[in-house]
Amino acid sequence: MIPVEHYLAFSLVLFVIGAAGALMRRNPIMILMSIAVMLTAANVNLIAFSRLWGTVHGQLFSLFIMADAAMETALGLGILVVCMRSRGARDSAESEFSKW
Amino acid sequence: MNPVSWPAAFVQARGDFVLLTPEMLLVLFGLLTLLLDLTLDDEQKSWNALPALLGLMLSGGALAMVGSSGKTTFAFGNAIAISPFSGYFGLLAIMLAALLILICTDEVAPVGQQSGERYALVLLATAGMLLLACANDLVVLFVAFETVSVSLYALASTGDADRGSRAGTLRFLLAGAFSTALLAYGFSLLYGLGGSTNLSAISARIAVLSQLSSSENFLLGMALAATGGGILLRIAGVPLHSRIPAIGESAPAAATAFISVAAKLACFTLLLRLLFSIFWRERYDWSILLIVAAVAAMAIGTLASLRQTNVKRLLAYSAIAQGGYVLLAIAASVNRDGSFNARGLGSAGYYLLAFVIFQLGAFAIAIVLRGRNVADDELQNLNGLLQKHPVAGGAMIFVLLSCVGVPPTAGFVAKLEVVRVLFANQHAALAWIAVLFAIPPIYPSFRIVRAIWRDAAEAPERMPISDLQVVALAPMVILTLLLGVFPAPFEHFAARSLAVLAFR
Repeated sequence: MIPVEHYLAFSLVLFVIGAAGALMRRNPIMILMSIAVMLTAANVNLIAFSRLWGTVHGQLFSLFIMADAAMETALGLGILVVCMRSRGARDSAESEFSKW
Repeated sequence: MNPVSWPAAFVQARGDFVLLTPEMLLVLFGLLTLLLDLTLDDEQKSWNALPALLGLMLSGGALAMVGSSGKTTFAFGNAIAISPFSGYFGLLAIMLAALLILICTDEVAPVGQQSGERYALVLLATAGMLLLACANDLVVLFVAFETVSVSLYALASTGDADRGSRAGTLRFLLAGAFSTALLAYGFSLLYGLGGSTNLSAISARIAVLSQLSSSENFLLGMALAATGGGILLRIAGVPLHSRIPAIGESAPAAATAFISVAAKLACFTLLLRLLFSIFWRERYDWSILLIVAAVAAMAIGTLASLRQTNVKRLLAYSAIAQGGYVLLAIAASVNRDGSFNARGLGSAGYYLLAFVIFQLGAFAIAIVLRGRNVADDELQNLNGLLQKHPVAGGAMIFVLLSCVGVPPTAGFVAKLEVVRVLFANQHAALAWIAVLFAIPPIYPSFRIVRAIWRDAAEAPERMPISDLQVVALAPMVILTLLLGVFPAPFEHFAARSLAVLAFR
């Protein structure tokens, strides 16, 4: 059995990659993807701890987090589409968010 | 877990469902509003406010009945804790939503762009806030917090696309999603430490460990940094401070008002719930964290508001600065020797009550008095207000005085109480900082007052003020005065409701 520390280290690396991406990228789609990576890191933790403690709560929690990630991404992409439509297709996604 | 069959579990939990009546009523009426919206013509969209208000009233009544015992009741296997704390914050949320709906029924919007879903979203966000206040489980806390956040993102994206860019809305969503990811990571570490998602169980386990091992200590510190960072990012908006005011560009004024107040309220509920249970052991660490965030919030909010000429942006920045005072009050609820100070927490609760009323009041009057032909909310729209509408102009000046913290108002008493608690706790330096940051907001408020006072010759044409709006404005002004003149009963109520946190 792989000790839980390994999972923790893995999730920490994932989390840092996601956070760096979310803070450094300019493109909103890339930011949404980076945030999904951060949430995945939380899920890895939850599932690893769920096995450590032998309870099912962690796995349940991770399902809620997945649903939440999907919800936020859908809403974000929806707003992005409206944004792009009102600005015309010529603008790339980046130009509008360069102030981020 | 016991293998209970589904119907049997349902019968067992029947009594528990009664305790969640306020939340269920809000969701029910929110969905009813959506259905009703389908049957209405574009000209009749204001009728949506009727079921929305009815739902809020019924829910408020149910909340009062559920919480009337004044004791803490657990339900759904300890996942829900109904207590004076949940009652107090539920009441604040319902009051906020009801006042907002009264104001925005007649909001200036071209036919065809009046959206009925706005009312439903406000009700769903309120349901989320009620659930957040009574949650006693990490999963419930997370889901409730996200119900509020997602409703607010959707609310921010209503309104017409021609008015300014939507980029502000998208940035608000991205910043919010980032802080949610931090929160989720922190929660996952808390589950790992406690072996349960239940708040009581995790705090009990952390309290039992007399000496944490170095790895456990590290995990607890990381969890505090991630959850605290996630919530404080939203309250202070420190590196992302331009987000909330930026929504103001495209979102309707009513949505901006609700978002900037409701988001703060939800964050403070979550923060209080976590700090005084799981993280009580780490109180020295988090009080420093809170103080840093508070000073940053006050500095950013105050300095950024100085040069604003857009009323909505100005008010949104001032809301950030007000959040700093609440953070200071929470930090002051830990004495130097590490014991609990009920007075500090009480002053935080009282500040939040005052904040909801006068901040919403200031936004409300800005909404009500907007020019008919002018799409934006620049300061000069308020020109000549006092001559044209003496009552509304006077009300606006009074509410602004409260925002700044001038004596006969709620804002003054709230700030004074925070400063007094800080002095009593020997945080004299912080108290002086709080006093210092109370001075600069006078300047932007003075500019608004000057615009209101100015000659009517330059005044733009305005929408008439409806009776409903007067009904909504009157209680805000009266409460602002009442909280300022007779603060004692309200302070007592706030302190008693929030003190439950310490003994759970």
